[in-house]
Amino acid sequence: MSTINQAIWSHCLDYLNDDDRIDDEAFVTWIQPLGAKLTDNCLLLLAPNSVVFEKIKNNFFEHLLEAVQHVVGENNPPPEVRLQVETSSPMVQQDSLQHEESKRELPWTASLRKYHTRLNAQLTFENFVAGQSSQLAYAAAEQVAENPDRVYNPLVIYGDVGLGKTHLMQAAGNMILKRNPDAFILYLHSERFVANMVKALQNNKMEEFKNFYRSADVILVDDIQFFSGKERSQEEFFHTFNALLDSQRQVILTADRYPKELIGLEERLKSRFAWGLTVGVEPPELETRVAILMNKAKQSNFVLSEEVAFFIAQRIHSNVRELEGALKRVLANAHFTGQAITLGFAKEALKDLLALQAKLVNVENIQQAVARYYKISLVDLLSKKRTRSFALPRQIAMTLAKELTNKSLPEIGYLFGKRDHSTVLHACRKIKKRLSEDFSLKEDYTYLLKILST
Amino acid sequence: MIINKLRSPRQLTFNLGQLLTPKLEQFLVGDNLLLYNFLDKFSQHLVYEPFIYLWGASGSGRTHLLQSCYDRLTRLGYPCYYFPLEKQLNFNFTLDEKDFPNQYQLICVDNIEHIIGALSWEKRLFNLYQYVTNLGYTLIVTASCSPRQLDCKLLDLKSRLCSGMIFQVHTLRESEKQKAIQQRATLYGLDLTDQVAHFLLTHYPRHPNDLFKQIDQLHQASLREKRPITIPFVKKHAI
Repeated sequence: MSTINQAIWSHCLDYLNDDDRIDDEAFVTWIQPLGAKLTDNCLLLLAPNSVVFEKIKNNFFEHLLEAVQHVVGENNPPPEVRLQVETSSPMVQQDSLQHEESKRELPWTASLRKYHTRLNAQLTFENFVAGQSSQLAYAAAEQVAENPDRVYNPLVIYGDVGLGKTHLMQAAGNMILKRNPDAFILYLHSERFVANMVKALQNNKMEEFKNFYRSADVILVDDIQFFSGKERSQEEFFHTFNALLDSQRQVILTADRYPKELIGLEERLKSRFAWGLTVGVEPPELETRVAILMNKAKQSNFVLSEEVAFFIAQRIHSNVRELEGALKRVLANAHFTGQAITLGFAKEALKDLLALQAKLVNVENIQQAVARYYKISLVDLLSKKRTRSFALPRQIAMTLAKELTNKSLPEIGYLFGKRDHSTVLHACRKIKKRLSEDFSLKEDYTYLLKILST
Repeated sequence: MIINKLRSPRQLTFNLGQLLTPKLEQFLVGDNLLLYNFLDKFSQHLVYEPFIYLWGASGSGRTHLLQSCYDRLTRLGYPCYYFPLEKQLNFNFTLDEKDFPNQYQLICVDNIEHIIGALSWEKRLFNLYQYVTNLGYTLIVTASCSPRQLDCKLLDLKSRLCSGMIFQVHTLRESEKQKAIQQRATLYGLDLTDQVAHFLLTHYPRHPNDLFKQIDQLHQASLREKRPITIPFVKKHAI
């Protein structure tokens, strides 16, 4: 890691002073009083008192990190930034509690390295539900995390979208980080690698770019299929990949298909990927989906019955993201209404999400639904025939069209066999009147309204 | 000509229509109770969700909801960004990560259906999704159809759009439309009687956007002529 030179803090101050998001008053009041101690790997920022400390922590710490990153250069390995209350400050010494606190390692003190890794701390092995479909990938990722560069290098996880490839990859990264907090674990999407390379080329900073990626202890690259067709990026990634493997750093990759089947990727790259272990992730089977739902609900402090979990899992089988989306919806509904999550409740909460072919209601849909319900042809529904068996469904369909669509009356009339708007108005009035008198008609109407609007 | 103009001076009005920024409280809930409750909490920063997808027909109010979330959180001091896609496309604006520095904690992208099918745009939206959700911020998008129905070229994008909180914004029912236009009129300080509202609904385009434009127009005319809105007045001035 490069040594932080003494000018870094003054450059940071200049950067922050120019930052439009921080007004002059805030800069003078909160940022300028900070002291800075510079060591090889750490920039220690010292707040004169706990008020400044809290303010910086809550409002400006991200800006500080950004400023440091800016000054150091985006492609340089980032230093650690720490903030604490200055222990020699008289105000702190007066307050023994605060003094004690300042001596402790502050739990939120962030390392810019960690900030830079973009690892999502929520994605761990503990909250990954492995079924038969992902058992092998889970075991492989866990082993890699326990013994980086000892067992499988590179580890390639492939599978369809939304099946947990990124989760497993990041879980491995998080576990490595937990065991070795100083490790530089770099997670990135392949598109980001490409974008950063383009930027480095434009700014003539390729050396910095190379050094940055090659300094990682573990590199996690998501969706390598995005390298497809980008020859220059592949070339650079190839060399980075080799350099990391040669220096015994762990590489984990994900792809949407078996690496050999990736189109537009150089053969030598594909062949390198096959050096380690390639494992697939399949769509989770029903029982796993149920377990995923129950697990996720538990994490949100809700109890989900098996019956409800099965109901959701049976209807959403394509990918886990959708499954989680459905669950979130049920939980949000339960949270807002305070009701228990029963089967009926879940059905109601998910009604529009589960309508597989959920489409917006339009006049054509209404006509088809009404014709089907009354067992008449669409031609008859739209015809000029005025017999009761056709006229009533037609009037109901017109009323529904007025109720459920934004079409104007002349437009509705036109779509019903080029009729006049007054015919539509007459139909709507007539149906409205009959609905209050005729119970069976009301039942028909309510049913149609329900199937069309859910 | 000049003399005629002087003889019948035309009252100039302030453009008060501009004052009507969408507010969540003004949204007629109808069949959207869960959605409303959720956005109400979300926009007060009481619940966190990295990704929200709102879809519905034109005129259902999805842009209203998006803008009101943007407005509320901006007022609470959170840096937010609103991005209407159809307009930005004309300006060749991109969804690239570099356009969204770290400070934006809420990014609202309106009408994503306009870019679906164009691979380069889909990739940008995908990158934006990754970027925003990785930072622990929130991305809200709106579209005219459900994510399952989007004809995405980039399946990685589609799977992500299918995650998070997905809500259909249900269109207003007939009776609610009447309430909606009366509420709009009230915001202008106008009293729109049931009779006049019903007249508007049965004699003019019933699309909510058209109806709201109608109210805006009638409001301006009413200010100019200093007359209340009656059926004859509507007949004279409605678009």
